Amino acid sequence: MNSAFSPLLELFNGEAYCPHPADAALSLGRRFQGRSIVVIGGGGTGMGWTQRVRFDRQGTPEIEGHRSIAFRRGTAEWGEHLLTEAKATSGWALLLIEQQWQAAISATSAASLNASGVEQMLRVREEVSDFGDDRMAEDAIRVAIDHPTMQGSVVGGVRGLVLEPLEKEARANGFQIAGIRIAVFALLERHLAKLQKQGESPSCTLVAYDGQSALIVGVREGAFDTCDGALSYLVNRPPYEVRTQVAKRISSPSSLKDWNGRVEIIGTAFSFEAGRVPEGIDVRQEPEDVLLAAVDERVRHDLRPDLQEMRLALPRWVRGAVYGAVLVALCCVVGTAIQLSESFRLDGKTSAKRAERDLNLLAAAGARSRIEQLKREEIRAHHIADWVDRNFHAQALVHALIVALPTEVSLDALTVQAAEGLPQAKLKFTLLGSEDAQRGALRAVEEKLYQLGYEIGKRDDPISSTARRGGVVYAWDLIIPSFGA
Amino acid sequence: MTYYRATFTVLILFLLLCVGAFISASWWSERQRVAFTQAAYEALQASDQKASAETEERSRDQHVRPLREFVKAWEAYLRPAPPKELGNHLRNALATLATRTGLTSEGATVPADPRTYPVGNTMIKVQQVSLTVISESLPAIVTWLGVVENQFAYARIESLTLSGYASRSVQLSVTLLHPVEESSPRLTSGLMAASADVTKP
Repeated sequence: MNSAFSPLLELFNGEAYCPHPADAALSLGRRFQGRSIVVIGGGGTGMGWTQRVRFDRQGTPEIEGHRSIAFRRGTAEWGEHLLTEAKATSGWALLLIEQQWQAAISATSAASLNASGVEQMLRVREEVSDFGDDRMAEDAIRVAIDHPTMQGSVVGGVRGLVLEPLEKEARANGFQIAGIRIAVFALLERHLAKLQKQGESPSCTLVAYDGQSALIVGVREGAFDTCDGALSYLVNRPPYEVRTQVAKRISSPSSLKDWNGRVEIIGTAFSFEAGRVPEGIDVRQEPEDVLLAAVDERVRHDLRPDLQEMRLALPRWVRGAVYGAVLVALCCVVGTAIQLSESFRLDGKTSAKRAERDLNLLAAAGARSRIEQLKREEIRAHHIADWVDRNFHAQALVHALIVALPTEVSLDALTVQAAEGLPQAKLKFTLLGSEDAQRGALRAVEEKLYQLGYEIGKRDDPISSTARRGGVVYAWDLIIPSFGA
Repeated sequence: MTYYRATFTVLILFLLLCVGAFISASWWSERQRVAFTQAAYEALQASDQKASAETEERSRDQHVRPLREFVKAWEAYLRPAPPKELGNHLRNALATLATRTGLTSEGATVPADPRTYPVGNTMIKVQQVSLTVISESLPAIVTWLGVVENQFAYARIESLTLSGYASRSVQLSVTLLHPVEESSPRLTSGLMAASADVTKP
């Protein structure tokens, strides 16, 4: 997947913590730990072959199954075979170039570029003046192989028009390209790296031979021999011719002189004609499997035209941090959902409680309003009752007094004055008659008043007399009987 | 790391967003919880207020019920009307009753404004009407007094003065007080109807 979501996806599917499969700065072993790749190679005859290579958990390669060689490149059968291989493996391929390569010697060491990894490879390609050769095609993509203690580099190149169809063919059949290497250069690079690890430098001429082609690198006095003819290669020829020419070149008088008669052949076991080593040459062979050399961890050169810096693998702890962050985010999302749900539930309950409160307050206000009304009603009722209770029946009082008076006395005047706000009244009356008769009348009036329920609070007998008519004025304070209202 | 910078930035922003959302949601939820607690407390208080008010209302209603019955019995005599209208009505009614009883009435006075009168621990407004009736017959005067008291049972005789009992012309001066009630159209029309009854021959 090549989209904006790729980096995000890689963080979760674990790819981000593994080296990028196309990262040329790392060995194939590190890039494909625990996985298989397919090495696709071909001879000059146009035939193609494939070989699965599996890397174990430590990145050590091992050949898986048998090499498939039965296909002519460009045919449908070859395409189907590639497709099947791509599906059966990781889908990544290493293109191994055995023919159509070129070589040159450069006085400049790749190590002197003050760069490493992919950047160094890209600079080798750019700096044609240092790492080029008149005999090398202009469109050739170059790699430089060297030893850190030696001056100069061995430069290899393959033309773009050779690489392009190979790469296109692999991609069209479901492969992604993990690298493109030249077989003999892989042998040479691995050998130099091995020497470097052992703290040694090449001490004799090196012949890298992969069974199809050979590269002869002259070494003189602990350095690559930069003299004309010191580097030669045999490619795009029948295997027997390659062997013959190798034997011829390493045993020529000039070569023997220049190289002190010592040659080291690395790669596929080299057999001289009739099984005899040419006279005067000390030939040392280190048979090595070309294919294993091509995928070896010490071999880094890469001829891919689209070579570029790839992302680095993230540290393992980042994975934990990412999952932790996602877990926290997930918890937050779940927590947020729970809190929001709770909030909405509480909001609903709050609204219900507020409605209940409002209804209760309305009911309470209504009740209070009715209480106020009842209070007013009560006050009014008390006012009416008080008013009524302090009243008296004037007709009954007047009539009773008149009737109660004996015939010996006569009533001259009668005044009843109710006291303001009090249940009492002032009774004032004037009687005419003899003194005895008046006393009797007073008793009769008094009895009558008591009968009617009045009480006499105060009596002034008499308060005055009217001499003109012989009348006597009496003034009594009466307490008005309660009606029980 | 450069390759994943944008992704990490987005992830961190997303994480911050999630954390922020969670904090906001928690804050809001807490606020809702407080609001609910407050609302529940207020609802409880309101419920208590309602229960208390209703209890008081029931208690007062039970207390007022007999008073209401009492007031109902007196309702026909309360004669609610504006003070002046009430005063004129009383004066006319007293005079009419006097005429109908065969008495001569004179000196009827009605003050322009009602006066205040203490009842219990409060003051009420009362309309005062004064009238003097004259007759040769004491029973006629006493009868008139009884009719007046019967007709205006809610009125109070503040003072009465009977004189000339021994002579041929008996006079009775009466001062009547009638509380002024707040009027309503219905009650006013009731007063008019009562007034019509009194003035009937």
